[in-house]
Amino acid sequence: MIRLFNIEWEKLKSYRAFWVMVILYLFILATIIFGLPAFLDFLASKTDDNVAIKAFKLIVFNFPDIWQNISYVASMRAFIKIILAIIVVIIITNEFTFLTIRTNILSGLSRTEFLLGKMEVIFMLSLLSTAAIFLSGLYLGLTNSSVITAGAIIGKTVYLLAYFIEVFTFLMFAFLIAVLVKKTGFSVIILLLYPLIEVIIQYNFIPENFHKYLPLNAMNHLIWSPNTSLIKVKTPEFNMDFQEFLSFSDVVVCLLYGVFFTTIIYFYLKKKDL
Amino acid sequence: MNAVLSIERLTKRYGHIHAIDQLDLEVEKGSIYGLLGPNGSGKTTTLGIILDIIKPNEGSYRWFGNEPSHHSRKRIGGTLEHPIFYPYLSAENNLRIIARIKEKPFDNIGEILKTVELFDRKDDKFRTFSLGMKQRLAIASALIGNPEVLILDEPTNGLDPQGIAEIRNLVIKIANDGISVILASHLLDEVQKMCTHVAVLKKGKKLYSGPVDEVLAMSDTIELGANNPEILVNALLDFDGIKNLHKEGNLLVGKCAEGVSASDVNEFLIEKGIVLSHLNLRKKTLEDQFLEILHQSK
Ligand SMILES: Nc1ncnc2c1ncn2[C@@H]1O[C@H](COP(=O)(O)OP(=O)(O)OP(=O)(O)O)[C@@H](O)[C@H]1O
Ligand SMILES: [Mg+2]
Repeated sequence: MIRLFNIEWEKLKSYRAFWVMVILYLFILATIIFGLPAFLDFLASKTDDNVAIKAFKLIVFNFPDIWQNISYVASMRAFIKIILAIIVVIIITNEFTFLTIRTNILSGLSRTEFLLGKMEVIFMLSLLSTAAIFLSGLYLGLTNSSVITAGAIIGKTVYLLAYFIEVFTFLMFAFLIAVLVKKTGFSVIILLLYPLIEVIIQYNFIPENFHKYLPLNAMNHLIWSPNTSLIKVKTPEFNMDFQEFLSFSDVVVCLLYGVFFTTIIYFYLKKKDL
Repeated sequence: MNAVLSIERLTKRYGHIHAIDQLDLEVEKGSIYGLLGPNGSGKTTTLGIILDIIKPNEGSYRWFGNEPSHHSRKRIGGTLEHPIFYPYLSAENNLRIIARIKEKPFDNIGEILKTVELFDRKDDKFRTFSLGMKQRLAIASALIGNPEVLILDEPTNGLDPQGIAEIRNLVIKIANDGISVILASHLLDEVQKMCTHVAVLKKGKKLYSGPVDEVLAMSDTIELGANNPEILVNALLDFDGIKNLHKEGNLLVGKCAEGVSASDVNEFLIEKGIVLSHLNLRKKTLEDQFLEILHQSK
């Protein structure tokens, strides 16, 4: 395992474009996460009647709900995490366009090891993303939350695990596209168009009961809404459901997709000429 | 038996094209094995299969007498067709990746880079290299981790004459250390200088395989000249020691049958009362034999 990661690390550590994209991703993530409270502060400072705004800020960034809210924003469909997916597509398609997968294999890497090595990179990227969410959540919670007790801080951190699973599965999806398409530009276009394609398929071919089992929906359904335990707004005009807890079956469906993507990649790499 | 590599009835089809067709091959330990054949005859395909880049349709191969696996590939140094590296990484970085894959230390990377004369460019990115430098780096990558077998697909492609000579000497030196070499090349005079064995492929089929000495001994080309060519031709009709007799300019050229020497021919003609103005046993080259083998297969 360490050996496979060392091999991948050797490929990435001096790859400038990779680090530029990772930093860009973290920058955009931070801008959005930290931008919201800053924006709310800005709004509050512009008006005297700012009680509602202040209350809103309080409930969004209150422990423990902050974990759900922040991971909800960071994991929304193919929004911010698409940048990570593009990074994955680039490092995979590079191996095919530069044919370096051949030198990897002929030098003594098995095709399974190639898959595992890339999965380790994807694991680390997901971990990095989760760590970024965790640290910014911790900071925003500590500076904004009205309750700061160990129990409140730890409560709902399970959403971070769900976030990790969702990002990891999404990146495996990007891996699959990259392996099947092989060309960087094409893969990125397909990745960007896929959310649209899925919506079209959903409304034309899939019975409503099954909508939530389409890949992107399934991943997205892990954390499907923000929530707050402080106020529950429910009026005839504003009648929206909030996610109260993580559903075990959602996690299973998402993980099954992860296994499914991995299996296709595995058999594809096993059988094909490189 | 001491076979490093044995290939049995290997077949690879691309649509209706047989890239290789029922190929059998055996490479013995310590030999320098030349894989010859015109463009598209299946050399790269064969090397690709034994390095697990290409999946065959039929047949099998064994490395070191065992079922092939990625572990056997760690004992092999290989290049395939064009030099392949991460363009955005330095030469040294690229070699470190290969050392990591082979689970070999980095210590001798500097040494290897010196061998192929790239040491002072080790920190430059691969994409800034000239074709010859890329080719040298490919050879360097094959040398990592003291392989027991070296597979080189047209290793001298793009090299300058000095580079070609250096590679030749390097291959010979490597083989003297007991390392087996499998080499696909179009430079037949180089192959002749280096190789102990050759196989000739055409359209995926093996036309010939054997020791280089044997190929060269297969038949000699003889040149004959006389003041009166007509008489010479007529005289030679009775002599069955020369085949394929034909005219080349003022000379008659043919192949000596096995065991027939120039003096046999001369003796025969003298008995007939013919005096030769020219008698030459052409220095046989692998190229001649190669073209001959291909010609006969038509
Ligand atoms: N990926 C492929 N798809 C279709 N046909 C292929 C493919 N690769 C090789 N071929 C065909 O297989 C045959 C053998 O090709 P190969 O590259 O092995 O030849 P070669 O002996 O290495 O030739 P060269 O001397 O030009 O390098 C050729 O007819 C080629 O067109
Ligand atoms: Mg070739």
